[in-house]
Amino acid sequence: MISYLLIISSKAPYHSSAAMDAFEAALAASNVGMEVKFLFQHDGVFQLLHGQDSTAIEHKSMYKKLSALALFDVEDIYVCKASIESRELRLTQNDIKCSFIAPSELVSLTQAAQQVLVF
Amino acid sequence: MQEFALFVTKSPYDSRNSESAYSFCLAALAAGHNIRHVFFYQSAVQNASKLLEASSDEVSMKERWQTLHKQYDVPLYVCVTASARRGVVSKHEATKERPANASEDFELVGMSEYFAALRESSSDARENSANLKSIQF
Repeated sequence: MISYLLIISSKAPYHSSAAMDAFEAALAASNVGMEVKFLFQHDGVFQLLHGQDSTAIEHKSMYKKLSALALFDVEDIYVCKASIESRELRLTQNDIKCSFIAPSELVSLTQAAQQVLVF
Repeated sequence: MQEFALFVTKSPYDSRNSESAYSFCLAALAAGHNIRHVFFYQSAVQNASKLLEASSDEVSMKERWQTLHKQYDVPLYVCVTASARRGVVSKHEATKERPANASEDFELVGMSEYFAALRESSSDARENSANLKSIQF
């Protein structure tokens, strides 16, 4: 099995620097040739939404940043199904493309990771 | 023997994050393990400021990291981007308007430094048993 780094992004996009810090960590790891998997969990799922508008707070859109993940070879993007459901969200085709992951799979995804970073 | 790479994420005073990381280092070293390096990210970059001044009856993270570096020879790496954003300046980047305030015990490096070590270790490792373990604080 290929060893990988799992980055878990669990905070809302603009409340703190966490979302951006997770994103930049993924780029840095991918940049040195690490296999990176990226998981959105808890309030981190709000980062995926296409409709977010950060112009009022003069921040760059997290949605736009995340759209570039594939360009940096971060292609395995997951979202925690339970986090989406408990927030009564629905992802559409305009949102960041990711695979839904059930709580039981979450355990195996984390266990199989060689390294894990949580933001 | 296990080798560890530590990833510290919080500023020295606001949480016990840095203290826990330091205690982990001492415990691991005492048990005969090795600390490859400690990497400071997010607001943990404040640990590198030489201007930190703990009250005389309080824990001084500045002294503790200094001990770890000088006595145990553990490299202390600080994310250069996170530092710039938070006003931690090394002597290499210092200007007249922006004087250096990073302690010389710390080295400002790119984040890739941390991941390169992990990657190198994973390609050496057999059967997925990492010989360098990343621990996040």
